[in-house]
Amino acid sequence: MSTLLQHHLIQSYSEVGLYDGVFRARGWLSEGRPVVVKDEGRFCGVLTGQDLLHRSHVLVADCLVEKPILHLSQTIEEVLEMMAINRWEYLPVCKTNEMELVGLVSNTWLIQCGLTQTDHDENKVADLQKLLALKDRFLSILSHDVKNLFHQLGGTLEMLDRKLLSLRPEEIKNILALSRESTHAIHLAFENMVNWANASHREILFRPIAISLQNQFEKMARAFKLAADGKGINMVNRLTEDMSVHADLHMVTSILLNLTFNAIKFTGSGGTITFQAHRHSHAVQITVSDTGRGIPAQELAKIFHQKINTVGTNKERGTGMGLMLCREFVEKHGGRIWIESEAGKGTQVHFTLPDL
Amino acid sequence: MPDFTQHISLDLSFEEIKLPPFQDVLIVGKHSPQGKIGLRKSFELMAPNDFKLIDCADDNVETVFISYHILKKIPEATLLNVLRERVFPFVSSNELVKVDLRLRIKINGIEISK
Repeated sequence: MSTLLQHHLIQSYSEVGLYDGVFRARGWLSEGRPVVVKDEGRFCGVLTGQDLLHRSHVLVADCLVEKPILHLSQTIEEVLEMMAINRWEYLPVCKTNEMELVGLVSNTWLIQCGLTQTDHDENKVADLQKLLALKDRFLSILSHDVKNLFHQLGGTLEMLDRKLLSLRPEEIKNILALSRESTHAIHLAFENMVNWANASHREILFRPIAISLQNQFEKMARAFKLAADGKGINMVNRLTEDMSVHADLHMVTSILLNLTFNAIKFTGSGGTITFQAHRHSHAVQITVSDTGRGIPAQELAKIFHQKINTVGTNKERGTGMGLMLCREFVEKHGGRIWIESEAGKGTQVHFTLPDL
Repeated sequence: MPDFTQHISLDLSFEEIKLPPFQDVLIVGKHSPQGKIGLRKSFELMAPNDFKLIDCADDNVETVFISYHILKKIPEATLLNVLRERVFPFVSSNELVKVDLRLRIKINGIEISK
């Protein structure tokens, strides 16, 4: 796998000006065509789909994220390492000590070349496969969490569409304000997840910090207000201000997002969802309980170990992997997650995280 | 064919404007359609050397452009603190917000010896 880059250059790309709008570039990128940015003929960088995801501006100059410049003498191995750290899709290759572009390299293309090499370095192939698996994992987490939030927004817009003529202007205004709040929550969740994926190298990043549970509850309550109001569900906060944990923010957000989504999904009209926490020696036990329809005993045993996709009280659908993710993230903190539930009476999900 | 007449009337008014459309401070949200690089380039063309670009560590605000005329009269850190406390909380990440300042400097007790 020590082949030099010069054998794997991509010469087919589109060009866009530094101070052009992003519209044309967006079209090329959506067709999977790399885009090179130039200013008065001078090479400025490579624009990727990730750049446009992160930066929602109108000019190419404002969306272009600075990336490293590669040289022909570099090996595929070292370039892949570099691309994996920051999740670059494409990187430019220039002549040594000059900003003269000789071609591009693509992450996906290099991995494919690596996997089909005949030198059969099994460790390296396994390493590359691990990277691909990690990429898939992030995509599944991202799609799962964002899908939940989109579901909330979709439900509200559907309700607005159905009841528009019978609603008073102030009710419509209120729903639209909440929808705006929801899109903000989606954007935030999406951005957090992408940043998290970008920061993680070879394994999912785990960076515990002090987290106020009260703040997290407020974020959840805002993100899910529309869905809860829509079903007439009361969200009760019994978390005290001093209740904090030492945990990874992205993981905690993802756990609470999933548990809240599930609680709303399986709780019928007029029900209650309660958030509370207690200290136990060096851990904080957090409980999300609902007065929903509960989980049948035969499902409880396998709920954290296999994909279960059950339709909610309002026909809400998930990806069926939320609780598996929760277990993975709680265990990463050395914690435990378990469920108590009785069919028809409700569910309590408990999990522990390290105390601050 | 029905007979009809058509009149076009026009009202107009005009006034002088100044570019760029702010004089003192412009706050650039993190996701505003116009980003800091494009704005800086346009200010360089419209009003060369008139504004200082200051990047901010804030959830919603990416950058602030402040007129050098203002910075001549008030320290940058002091003005940024005022903006951070009084204005940033009202700025959404997708907005551009112009801030007009009325700065008055009062000096008392100057003794002039003859």
